Amino acid sequence: MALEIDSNPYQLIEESNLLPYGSAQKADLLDRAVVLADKSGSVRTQFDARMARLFCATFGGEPQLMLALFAWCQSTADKRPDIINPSELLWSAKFVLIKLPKYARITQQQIDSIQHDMVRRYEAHGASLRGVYTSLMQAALSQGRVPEARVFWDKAMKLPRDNYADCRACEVSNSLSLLASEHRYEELLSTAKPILAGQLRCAEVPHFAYPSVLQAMHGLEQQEDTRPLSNKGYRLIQSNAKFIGCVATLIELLVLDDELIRAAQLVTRHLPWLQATTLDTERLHYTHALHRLLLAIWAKPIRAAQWRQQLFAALEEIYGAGAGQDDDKARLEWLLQQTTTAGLAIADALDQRNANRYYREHWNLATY
Amino acid sequence: MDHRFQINLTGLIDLLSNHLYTRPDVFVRELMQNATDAIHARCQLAPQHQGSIHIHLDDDAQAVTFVDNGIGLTEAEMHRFLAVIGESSKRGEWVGQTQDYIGQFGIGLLACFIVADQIELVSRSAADADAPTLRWSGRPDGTYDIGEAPPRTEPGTSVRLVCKPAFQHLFSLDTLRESAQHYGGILPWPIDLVHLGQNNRVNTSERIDAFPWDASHLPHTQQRQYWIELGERMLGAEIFDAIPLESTVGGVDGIAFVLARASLQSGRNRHHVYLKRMLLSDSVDNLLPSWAFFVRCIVNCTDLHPTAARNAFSEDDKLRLTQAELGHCLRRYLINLAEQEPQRLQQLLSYHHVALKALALEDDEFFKLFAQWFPLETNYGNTTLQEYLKRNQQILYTQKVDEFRQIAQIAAAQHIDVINGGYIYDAELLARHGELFPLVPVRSVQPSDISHELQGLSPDQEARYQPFLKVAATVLEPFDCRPKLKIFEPADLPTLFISNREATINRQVDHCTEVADDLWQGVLVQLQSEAKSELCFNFGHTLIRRLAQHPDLALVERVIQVLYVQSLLMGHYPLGRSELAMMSDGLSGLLEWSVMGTKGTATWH
Repeated sequence: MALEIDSNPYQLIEESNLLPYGSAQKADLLDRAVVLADKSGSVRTQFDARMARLFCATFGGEPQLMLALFAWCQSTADKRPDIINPSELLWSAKFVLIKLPKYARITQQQIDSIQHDMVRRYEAHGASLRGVYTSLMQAALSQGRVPEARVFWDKAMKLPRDNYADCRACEVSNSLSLLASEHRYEELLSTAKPILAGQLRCAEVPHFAYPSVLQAMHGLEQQEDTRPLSNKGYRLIQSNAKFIGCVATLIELLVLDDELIRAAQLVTRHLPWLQATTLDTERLHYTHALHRLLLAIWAKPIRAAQWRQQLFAALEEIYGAGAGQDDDKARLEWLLQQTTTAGLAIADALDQRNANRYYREHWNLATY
Repeated sequence: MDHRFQINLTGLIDLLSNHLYTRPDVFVRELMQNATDAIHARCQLAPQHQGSIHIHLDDDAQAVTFVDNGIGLTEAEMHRFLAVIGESSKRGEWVGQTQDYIGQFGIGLLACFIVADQIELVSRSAADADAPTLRWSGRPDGTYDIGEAPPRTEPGTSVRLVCKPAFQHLFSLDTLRESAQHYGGILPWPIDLVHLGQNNRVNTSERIDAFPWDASHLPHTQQRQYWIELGERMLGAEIFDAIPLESTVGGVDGIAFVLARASLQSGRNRHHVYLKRMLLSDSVDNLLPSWAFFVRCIVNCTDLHPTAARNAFSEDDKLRLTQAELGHCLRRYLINLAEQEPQRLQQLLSYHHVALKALALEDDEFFKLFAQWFPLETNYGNTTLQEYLKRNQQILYTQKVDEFRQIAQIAAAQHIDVINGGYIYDAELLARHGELFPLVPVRSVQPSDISHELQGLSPDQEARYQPFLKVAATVLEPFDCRPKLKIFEPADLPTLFISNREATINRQVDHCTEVADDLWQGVLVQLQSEAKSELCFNFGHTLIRRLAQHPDLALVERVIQVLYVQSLLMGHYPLGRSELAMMSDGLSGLLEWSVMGTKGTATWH
């Protein structure tokens, strides 16, 4: 974190705005902005620098840091309403609600308390709860509570849209994940049309839409046209670890399409994301995807192939190597055991907190 | 029972002016576009027809009339096309095919209501030799009337607008000329602006049929310079190079200009796009593939579909194929440059390496050709991958800039050559290199990987200095930091703070926890991982050697406190409250000890 003596936090923030979310360079610039802001002694500057870093963490795949920075900003805003308007945090609060239940370690009571606190803050500001309910829909989905998610979504859509609600493109994109969970694939494809046609766009639209659309096409057995969409979707998300779940879905679908070499390439390429992510739901999703790939390899006659050796070697860096290193079948069996153990441990931890068996039951399905 | 939607025309006009159109002079575009479509339609009937557009500005500059010698309208067409929103003439059974025309949405005429309270249109159809001349008057309340007008000798249409007071500035000669040039400057028929009896030609090019970028009349060697000058004039930016663009899909013809400044990856470049020679927009953002943000284009296209806002094209298959073809033109240019003008390529890379790295991530063939020239930062200075691989058998890189900085402090002394992969796309490109060239191992390193390779003490020494390590562990424990005694170069570096990604995030979460309210403190504690940072004490440094053997453990504790905070400051890490407090304690203690030392107590030296 080298500091330029003559730079100021706002210069660094401005410089970071030129870089895309997910880039380490952007995060580094903003880390330096925070250090400089702290040196300035100005609470407003410290808040601004952390808000910029908060957005970077939110859209760049650093959820742990996002939650911590949000806590810092909210506490500081509460203590200094004379210089910080508490409404400045309302927009970010929606992302906090989505991320919290993705950690198995966070208790239901903590999730409920923070959700209630957010609703209270929105109401105190006289803001529409449309955005909050949209986030609660996504939170419910990540807890495997699909009917509850539908209730939140329907509630959200009846409320007026204001500055704190998502834009139309994001709302349509969000609705796709709900429709996918409900297996309403035809409706999903028709809802996604304006996104795919480029009529609705936003910072993360169509990024999140492609995996849902591809999932629906598979559900409707229309997979013959999926390759160009899969490639286009991947190009959008390949550089930002925030989209690890989307990459996992693409891998699952490649396995279903029997494109094992491409799936193995993606699994290996994004293993650093698996190691870096702190979100249990995303770790589980990615582990599930690579487990499905290993199962697909298991189902085929074992032949020497370089791509498979590279995959095994990369996975053994994470899961360790079992006995029988010269025997591909034994290696595969070991890796299958390891991924099952790792995946089910996360699934059980999430299910225990969520008081259901959603993730355990989905482990044996082709896609999460 | 079925009901019909009611449309509030005034509200719709407000919507158009405030939300859809980006420039208030858009009525000029819409009227010239209608005139152009009408001329195209007439040319379908009579291929030899010579089109023309006249724009008459009243002497008092209160009204303007656009006159064309296009196909004109019959009464039935007036009812249908001028009065039904969404029923553009270009959708119906006008002469020719829908795609022959520019307007597609039937809302263009409404743009006139932004600047005028009434539209008066006089037209005579060329479709029928006996067609009467008709006058159509439309008002923003949605009413209109049609009646016969004094006969026009020539078929065609004129549209007269009387300006609203607030838009008087748009009705001056200079503004109208600028608007007409902006939108219709490359139309292939004469456009004349008439005011106070003076005729002003808008499109003054001697080669009216040719595009401004058509350099076919020049020798090949002079074309590049011609284009560069054109680009600098039209785009107002310094141009490094020009690339001819052509795509049969979409009917694209034009030039891509390589800017002589670093391109911004965050936003797409805005392109100057003509649709059938009428300016569609000077800020079209989706004509090229997303990686091509190092060029700005001036192009004409004949077969792409604009969105209603007209600053982008519909993302249909045709656009996708066009993007691919245009991408191919740019890629071919870069490959030619690499093969024939490597020096020039180096210069281009100095501006646009980020864009080219983005392309390399999408295109393996391009990667294989260009990866060697990409600039990289290593602990031995800036280099290229080609140079790096001359001195290394494998590629070592960090994922983050911060990790690189930690490693760079000692890597050179350990003869380790590490690439900073924290800059945009670099880590991904290096990982991709490993996929494409498996014989060159690629390894991502973290600071702790390097610290593990630092020379440790012998077991005897480790045992001897256990008391020191114990004190250090106690001091550093609240900060999730572990002490290590190592010997490393540079010898004048007393300590090295090493923090992997997880540990760094832990530190940041810790600092936030200190400030968070009770509800959030509970949550943040749950988020902490087991990862710890390390403080490596350099036993090769005199201070550390003396410190490790010093009998006064209280003093040792103070010095460790200060060394820890000093190492954080050296690495420019943010300090938490507890770290600031510790620095204060440590310094106070040392000062106190120093004062005592002057009274005869054992001193440092």
